[in-house]
Amino acid sequence: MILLGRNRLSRRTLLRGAMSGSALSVGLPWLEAMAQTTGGSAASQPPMRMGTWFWGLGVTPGLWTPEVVDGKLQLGPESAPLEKVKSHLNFLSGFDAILDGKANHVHVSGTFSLRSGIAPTNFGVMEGPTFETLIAEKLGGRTRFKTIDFTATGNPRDAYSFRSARVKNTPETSAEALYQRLFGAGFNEASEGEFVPDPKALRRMSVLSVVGDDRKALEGRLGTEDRARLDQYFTSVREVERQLEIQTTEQEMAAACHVPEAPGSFEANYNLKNVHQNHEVMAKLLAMALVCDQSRSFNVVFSNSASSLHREGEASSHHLYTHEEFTDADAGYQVETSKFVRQNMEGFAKFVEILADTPEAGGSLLDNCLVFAHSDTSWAKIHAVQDIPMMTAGRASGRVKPGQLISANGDPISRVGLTLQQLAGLPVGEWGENGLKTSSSISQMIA
Amino acid sequence: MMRGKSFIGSLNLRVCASALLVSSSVALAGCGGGDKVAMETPPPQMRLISESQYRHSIADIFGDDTKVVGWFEEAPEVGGLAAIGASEMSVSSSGFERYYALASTVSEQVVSEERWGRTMPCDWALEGAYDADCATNGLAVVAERLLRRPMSDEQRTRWLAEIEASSLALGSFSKAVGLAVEGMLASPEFLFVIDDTEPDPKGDGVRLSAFAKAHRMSFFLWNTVPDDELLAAARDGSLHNKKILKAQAERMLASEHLTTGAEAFFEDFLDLNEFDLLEKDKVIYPAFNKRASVDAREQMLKFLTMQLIEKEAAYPEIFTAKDTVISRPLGMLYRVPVSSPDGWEPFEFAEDDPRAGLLSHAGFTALHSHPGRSSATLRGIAVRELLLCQTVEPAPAAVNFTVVQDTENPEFRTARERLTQHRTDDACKSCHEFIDPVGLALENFDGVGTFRDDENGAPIDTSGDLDGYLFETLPDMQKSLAQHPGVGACLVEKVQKYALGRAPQGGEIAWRNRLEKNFTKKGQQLPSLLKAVVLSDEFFAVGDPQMDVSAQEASVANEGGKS
Repeated sequence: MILLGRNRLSRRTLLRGAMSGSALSVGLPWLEAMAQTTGGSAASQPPMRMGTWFWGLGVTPGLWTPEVVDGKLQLGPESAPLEKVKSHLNFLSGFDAILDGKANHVHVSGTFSLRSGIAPTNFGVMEGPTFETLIAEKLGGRTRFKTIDFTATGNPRDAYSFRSARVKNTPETSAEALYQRLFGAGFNEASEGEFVPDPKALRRMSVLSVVGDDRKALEGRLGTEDRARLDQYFTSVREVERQLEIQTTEQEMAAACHVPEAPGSFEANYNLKNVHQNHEVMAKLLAMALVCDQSRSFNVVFSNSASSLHREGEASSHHLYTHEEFTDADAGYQVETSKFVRQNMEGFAKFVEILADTPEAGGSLLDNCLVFAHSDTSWAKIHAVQDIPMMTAGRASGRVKPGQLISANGDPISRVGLTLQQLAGLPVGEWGENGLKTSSSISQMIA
Repeated sequence: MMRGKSFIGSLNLRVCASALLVSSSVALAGCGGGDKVAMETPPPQMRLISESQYRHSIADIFGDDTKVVGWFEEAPEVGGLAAIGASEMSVSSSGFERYYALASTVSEQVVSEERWGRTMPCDWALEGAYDADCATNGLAVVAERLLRRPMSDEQRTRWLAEIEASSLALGSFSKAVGLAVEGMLASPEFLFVIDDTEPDPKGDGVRLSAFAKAHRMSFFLWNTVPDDELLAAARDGSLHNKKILKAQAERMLASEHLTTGAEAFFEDFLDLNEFDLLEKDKVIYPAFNKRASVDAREQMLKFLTMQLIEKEAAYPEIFTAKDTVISRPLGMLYRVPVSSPDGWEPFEFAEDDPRAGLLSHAGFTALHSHPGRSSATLRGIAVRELLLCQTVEPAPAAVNFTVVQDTENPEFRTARERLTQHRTDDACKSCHEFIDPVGLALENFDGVGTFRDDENGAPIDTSGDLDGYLFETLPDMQKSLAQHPGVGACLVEKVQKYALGRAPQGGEIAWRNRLEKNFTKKGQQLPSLLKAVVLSDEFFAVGDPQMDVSAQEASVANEGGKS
């Protein structure tokens, strides 16, 4: 990554970027303008939020990608469940995970390339931070949580967000736990009368600083790699300290912010029925947490990479269907597999609808969000990482223009990560490694 | 197929370093024809404690009625073991939030009226002023256990000042002590086991401190913190004396806590944490409820500790033993009557029952299956990777799966018929020929381990071959496995990695060879293998922290290249 402050893009780089791919790149001016406007407070303009929404096992070629007819998006059979929210969406088509001859590690290479800008050399080993954690760092400087992550599958391993090669963010797996974390003890409601900070919370901050006093001595006991691990531990401690700071200072809350009702207890696993239920309940909690400015970043997993989703009473899961189902002679595709794709799209439609139905500052929460949805593969049957299906939802506080089909022609998929980082105000001019290195952001997305 | 683990290759240096200039070294035999060689020692380690280590530690330090309710960040499996992942991972912010919340609930219990007297040498009061004597004496005991070594004077002063300030601010001495305990429980010294070194009086290098030695032994053999006797040997430094160390090791091996330690190893060795995420379709397998799942995991652990720790059976007997234990929920899966309504009772598979050994246990076959059906492939991979330490390459990406499985197709009714079709694809063939035969031998068990003779009306054929051993039936296959030299070697390899928390480097390969030779010679008994590990100098070897691993590996490799 090149920080613009230190290494400005040359005119040639900009031009080269602008010429490559059908979706054109943009240079510096808007970037810098944007970097100044990503803040916002509850009292004035709502802040911008960004997050990811993941589903496993892609789509069926030819059935999902919309067409543009008379300037309007016409959805395919598999994207049809998104009909009622399509005006909020952009569809991104034709972006590839370029692996530079490295093996296509099934269900891993696509997501890892897209998220980190580096095609993984080894199975399951992320080689750098994923871009949305960099965005979370930028947007979440003052919020209680850097990011709010959950999976609707009940499995804490279903997460694709990495702070570094060795530190993966662990998602919440139940609505109850998510509620407790967001709105349980530690949630600082706007108080009536004079604000009195909790003396225990103040003492806790002091105790944590005593823990930190031993840092130097501990470092002396460790080798270089372990010192880095210790450093990460203290970074994590710092985030809890920030939560205590927020808890002990008077907070201004948006008028629309209120503590929602505690959810009940739900079974959480890959049973499709339970996934839909958990996802909906947790998405609503997330929406209110965003309104209350508890975080400006989120990561949602609807179904896992190599989706284990299954319908009750059936011996095969979505994953098994993708590999084992015969192509239907009449339909010309795998019929049951395709039903699972539609189920994933129903999930995304619900998510977008929840954000769109949450009022905020005269508009909707979705207006101030950018949700980036993607899968691990395009055609799961052959684990293809070309044309991985991706979408955005929302306007990112007026920065993004929705309702479009954005088509590229085998461009590096890292262009998306670059664009989103720039939209978040990060001064990044170039991102990715080797074949995924790009300085060409997607201007068509920008309002 | 997707495998939710990361396989990170660690350096396996098969290098014999002959003359390294090192500050601390151990003499090792066996590398390069038995010459005595000097070997670079590994740097100190920092291992994240596992959930079970956390739970056992809290129970042993504060009493086993202390509730630990919470959620833990799990270490990824690296090289087949979470014990290695624990040496490589750190704590994410959401992970630390949870450890901090756990620390809070545990410390609140520790300073509650009913438990206060266990740790603090004074009377409890909800609203009491700072008591310097009580704080000093109580803190010394708690800190030595939580921080895994005695506090320095400077640390003590800081913590006491903190308790005093909190007492004043909160108007409660007990609450103030609670916050200090909370801080220590959230400290890196407690959440990680961090090696502590000191100058070695026998040279100019360093050695593990006696406290670090005590913790290394205790976490390895008991999966928890040292007991009072071991701590006393650390405190007076007598643990540095080889005779005393040996006596302590023997005491620990004879203790009932060895079962706890062995279970922790089996959990990691056989990936039993996967049971936490195991899901079966309720409509297809109504008998496999949560209790059955919990008991299936427990049964495997009880079977293994009974055979290998209590009876000290030779390791390969776990593939043929007929005696195990059973509970009522499992009776449903095994289709046998169980008289005890609660708990466990001894159970023996009948002579003419094809079931015997670990692989016939419902836990093994259920864990390595899909939610709605069995999987010869997943089971084959499990036997190959977990029990034989063999590597199965992930499926190639560009496989054309049009030759498919369809359980309703009248031509392909059994898993064997379907997989045979799958193997007609060249890209799949070599791998599946390696994986499937051993998995197909287990096809008599459905997706939750219930015995069946046929699948979709067609008889199940269990014959095949395992690395040259031909077999017809499941008992034959398990006998082949028992004779396979790979199983014993794999156990030694995993025990050594588990003890080290990393892949062996340099001369540690020679150490493994020595352990393996010894293991075979002494009747392949697990307790004697554990003893050999813990009494090896290599188990405690440590180098200067400021020289990092990669530099050390590079120096070993360079020297090896020159020789």
